[in-house]
Amino acid sequence: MSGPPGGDLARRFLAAAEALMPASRREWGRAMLAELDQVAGRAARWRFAAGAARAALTVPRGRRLPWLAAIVLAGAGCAAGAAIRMLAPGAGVAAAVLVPGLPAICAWIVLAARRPARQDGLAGRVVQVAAVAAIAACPVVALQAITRYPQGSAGPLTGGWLVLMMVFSADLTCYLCLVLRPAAPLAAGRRSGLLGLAAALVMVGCFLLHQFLGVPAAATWAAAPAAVLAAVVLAARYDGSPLSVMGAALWAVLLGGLAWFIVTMMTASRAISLDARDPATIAEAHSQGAASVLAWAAADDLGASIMILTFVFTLLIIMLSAWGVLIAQDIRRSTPAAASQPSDRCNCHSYR
Amino acid sequence: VTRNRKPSRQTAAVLHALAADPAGWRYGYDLGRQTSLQAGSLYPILMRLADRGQLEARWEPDPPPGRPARHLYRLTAAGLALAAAAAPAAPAVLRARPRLQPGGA
Repeated sequence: MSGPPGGDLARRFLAAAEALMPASRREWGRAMLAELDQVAGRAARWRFAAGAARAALTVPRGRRLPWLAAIVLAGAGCAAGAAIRMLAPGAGVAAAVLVPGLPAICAWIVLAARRPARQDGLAGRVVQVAAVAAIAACPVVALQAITRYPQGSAGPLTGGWLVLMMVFSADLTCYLCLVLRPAAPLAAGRRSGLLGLAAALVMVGCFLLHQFLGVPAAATWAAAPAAVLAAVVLAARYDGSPLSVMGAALWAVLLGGLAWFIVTMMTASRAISLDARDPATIAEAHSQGAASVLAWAAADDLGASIMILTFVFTLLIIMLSAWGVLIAQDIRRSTPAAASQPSDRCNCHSYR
Repeated sequence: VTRNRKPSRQTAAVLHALAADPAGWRYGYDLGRQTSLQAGSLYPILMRLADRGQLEARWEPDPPPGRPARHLYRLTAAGLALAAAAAPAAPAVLRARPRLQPGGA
């Protein structure tokens, strides 16, 4: 039995899961969708769709775990932990273990679970490399800034700090997933990737103008959404495809957010290292600074930067990704022949 | 390094179901009902078998009008050998279910 035209909710649910499958497994996703079309009864269809979605989202890797990546990440984590113990002994053993450990474990999970997808074209690869480099730089600059923060040497980390670190690590892991294995419709294409990269550069340029030439901060804050908007408008003008527009917005927000975070961390770190020579500055930071994570986030640029990247940009990226996948589904539904017709190359074969 | 691990009981059940008619092509929902496996368990097993060259798959060549083509499966020679080796483990998870006719759900 086939579902209603355009697919019922169970089919749409499974189609969304299928869209997230790696390209090498997409044929299996189509097989499950075709099978669902034969299942009669709402309950049976939902049971089948739920099981098939679980299979789609946890597809067998088909390869060995990247042991080399595990060894490299473990080495880097140990080195970073030792560095934290030397540079900021007051942060405590938990910080020395968790701060490098969580991102390392998350990165390994990403690498072990999904084979990195090579983006099509030079522009896509440039964007992918830039994004991976920016993601790798985020924990480094955050750590540098925090260890220079006067409160950093005042005592071991509190529960609030540890929670924030875990959220921060989870965010970076999600970004890494998005960059290394984006859902096919959201991969950085030539236009969307380059527009996103350009928007990111504009954001950084405006911020540097604010830092070094005294351009008002309001102009900097206005430049960020304006840069994203410009990327979207250009994508719409030159391509017009909703997916291209969504891709440009997604990559602009992701790259811009990362770039903005790195620049903010570096400049804040620089300012802290200069100001902290003044005993009064240190005393002030102790009295009003990091009594709690939220107070710290509200009190100074460093905390606000971490919070904005951790929550605001992440929320935007999640929304854009979900929107893009929904648009892709609509497009596939509107061209059923392309969506449901099996490819010729799969007429008879074994998957190797 | 190729692992020669004994198949799980669920995998053995799938192998047993497919080996019952080595020349015939089976489809996923049919296999799931025969082995009492949900799609979430069945498809990863089929993917693994196909990855190892023990299962071949193809799309239904002439689907009835108004119905999309189904994905069909059968064991390769290597899959049949594995099924023979795993035969004692299979009946434990199999339940007596009538074999569905191809083309129907």
